[in-house]
Amino acid sequence: MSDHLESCPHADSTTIAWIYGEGPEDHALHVSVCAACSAVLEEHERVVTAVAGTEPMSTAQADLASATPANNTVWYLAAGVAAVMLVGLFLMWSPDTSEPVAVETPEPSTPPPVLDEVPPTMKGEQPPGDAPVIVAERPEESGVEAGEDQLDIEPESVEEDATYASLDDMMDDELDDLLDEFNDFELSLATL
Amino acid sequence: MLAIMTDINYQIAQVQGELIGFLRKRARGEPEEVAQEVWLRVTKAGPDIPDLRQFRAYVFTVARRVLIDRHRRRRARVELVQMDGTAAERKASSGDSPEAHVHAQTTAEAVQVVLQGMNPEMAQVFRWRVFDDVAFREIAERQNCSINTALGRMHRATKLIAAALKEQGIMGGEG
Repeated sequence: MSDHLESCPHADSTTIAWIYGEGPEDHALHVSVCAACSAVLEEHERVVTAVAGTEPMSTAQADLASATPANNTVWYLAAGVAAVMLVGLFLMWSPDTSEPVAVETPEPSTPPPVLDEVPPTMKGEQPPGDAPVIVAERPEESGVEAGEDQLDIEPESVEEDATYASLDDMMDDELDDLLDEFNDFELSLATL
Repeated sequence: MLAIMTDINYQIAQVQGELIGFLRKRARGEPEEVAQEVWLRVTKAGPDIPDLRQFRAYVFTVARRVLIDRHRRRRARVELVQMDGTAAERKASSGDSPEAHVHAQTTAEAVQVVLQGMNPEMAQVFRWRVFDDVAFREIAERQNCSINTALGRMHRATKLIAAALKEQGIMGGEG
């Protein structure tokens, strides 16, 4: 349909202007006898009709819909910072088994069971000649309320001081990396 | 003058039925109203076309132009309601069935994809002219180019969109 459009000099200039009400009204006479211009009119009419039923998307809406990669990078940066903060929180709350905790815990009210001896609860119930059956009492079964004597310890508040320095360093490094990536990306966009 | 008017009236009577049939497919619910606007423009222009075949071609040219104008005006109305009204008002203003809404959604998405894939300046001309109703002269000033360049960009953008819609079966072929 549009292969012969270039055969008329008006097909991509005056006729387009006339179609959208910006050309001379008497151009209709030319369009009606020119196959090329008639084809252009038909094409525009079909497209405008097809688009007419759609929700209007103005230029501003289109700009929002097609968010640029630079805008996405800002979101990635924010998401990265949030992720780093979450990791930091996780590290602060999870117990660290690699290093000894510099907190003096009070002596438990019930001494841990000594495995070489017969547990106190077994004394008198088992003849001394039999093979020892070791039943280690669990703390919660010992009658002592769990954490009753440990509530005045606030390990997380003590650990905060120990881990904050390294967490800040880690966040700074992550932010620096993300900012570098962002700057590189903007530079590449600018060169494009 | 009287003879010309009589000739035109005779020619209009000859083409009227075919024009209504043409408009029935394109102007849902209002073919007679559009036909009246077409005849108004034809009689106002008063073309001296004795040949009925040529007159018919002229009438259909004017009819297509009237359809484009109406779609543009309708879009401008919807735009105004959308800016001020609620979703229900928008739905009422469009007056479309759910199927038509889905079709419109599909078309909008297809057009959006084509626009995003083409030259940004071309896409911008199409958006400004069709969606924002910006005049070509204004577009040329905004893009710092000649008006012919803006018109050419509009022409190429429309061709690309037409081809894509046709390929996806959204827009019909000849007829």
